Amino acid sequence: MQASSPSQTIFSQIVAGGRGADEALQSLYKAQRHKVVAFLRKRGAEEEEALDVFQEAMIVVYENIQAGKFRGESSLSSYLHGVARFLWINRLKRRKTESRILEEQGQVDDMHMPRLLEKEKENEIRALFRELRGSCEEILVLSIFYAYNMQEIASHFAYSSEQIARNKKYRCMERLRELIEKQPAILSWLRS
Amino acid sequence: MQDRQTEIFAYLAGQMEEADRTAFEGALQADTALAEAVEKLRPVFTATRLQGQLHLKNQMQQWEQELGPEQSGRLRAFPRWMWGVAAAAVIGFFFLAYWINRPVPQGPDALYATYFEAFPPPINVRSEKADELTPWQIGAQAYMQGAYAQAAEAFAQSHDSLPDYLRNFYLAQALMARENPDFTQAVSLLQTVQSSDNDYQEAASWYMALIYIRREEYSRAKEILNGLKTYRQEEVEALLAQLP
Repeated sequence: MQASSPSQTIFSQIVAGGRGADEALQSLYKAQRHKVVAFLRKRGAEEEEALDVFQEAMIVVYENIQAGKFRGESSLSSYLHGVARFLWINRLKRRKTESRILEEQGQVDDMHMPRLLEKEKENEIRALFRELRGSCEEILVLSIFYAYNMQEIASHFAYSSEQIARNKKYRCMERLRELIEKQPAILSWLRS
Repeated sequence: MQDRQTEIFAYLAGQMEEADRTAFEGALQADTALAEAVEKLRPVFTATRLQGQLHLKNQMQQWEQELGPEQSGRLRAFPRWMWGVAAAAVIGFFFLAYWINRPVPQGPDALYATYFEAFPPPINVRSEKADELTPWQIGAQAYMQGAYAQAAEAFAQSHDSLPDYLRNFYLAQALMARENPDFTQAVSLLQTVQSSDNDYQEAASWYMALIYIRREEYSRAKEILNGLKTYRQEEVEALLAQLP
């Protein structure tokens, strides 16, 4: 049997979700941070901006793996570089620095991009979850974003059974739904 | 109902296999109630995903701090294999030191040191500007970094709109984990957590039992540990077996 490469192991851990995915993301971040930032710096990004693009790319990679849009067809490192490059070109496009875009264009059309949180909407999302109170924010983020299973949720919160975790999650979702429905502007934006 | 929700979330997250997805989309066409349920849950799913992105960004800021100067590339001149040799030497040294001085887990201090591990940190979403951080958020960040004394100070000042049990639980954790623990205050805080209906009751009992062990109040510790029916069962049994 062929041994898995570190990249394949990280990929499998992210696919599996939960606590292992968190650790895998951290390994990926630390292994690739310098390389991707240097890659973006060579393409004209300032240090801080390169770091911001790299962190966005990490989110995209994570979400695309979770959603099955990236299935390990190439190495994780190549994919991360590709996503970072795509995001960087998009930023350049927004700034309309066309000469740089022409230099950069290439195989970037087939990237699946999940919805990323726009800076101006961050406060609205934060305020929404602040209203949830208690452990609801954590339960929902761990189970929906980090794909923790109910056993991991129960263990994290020291619930005595998975059923308790399931019930809590259900109640938290209902509370969040009610909060969103009270705010038509947010509701319509989230549905769009 | 909850199974249906799990299915809807898998659909919204794009985590269904192709065949399941096709079948689900077919059901959506035929079943109005299902279609309505999906539309009700879509905003909840999207909002949580976006909140998750904020959380992950916050995590990455923490990792960034942990990386230190090596990532700037300045230390690359040092040959890579030398890092391996140096790491092996350091690990060897600490292993040897540990082996020579290793605690024999019998006395109260050794038992406490063996079983005490601070509870996982709370999720803490950082504000855009540092001066917008609340004491709770400052405490949570310090806690995440293992700066428990600083975390305790911040949690003690926290007047955020948080339930008392949450603040008290984490303040007790920080007081237990810091360099000069304050077990008296930690016990009284944990008692308040234990006496109200919340998610941290059993964990609070576990930590109280550890404090009683350290104080050599074994009968109280045993009473609490025997009352834990599901929490850390393997550790509870192992610990009970070692108590006099």
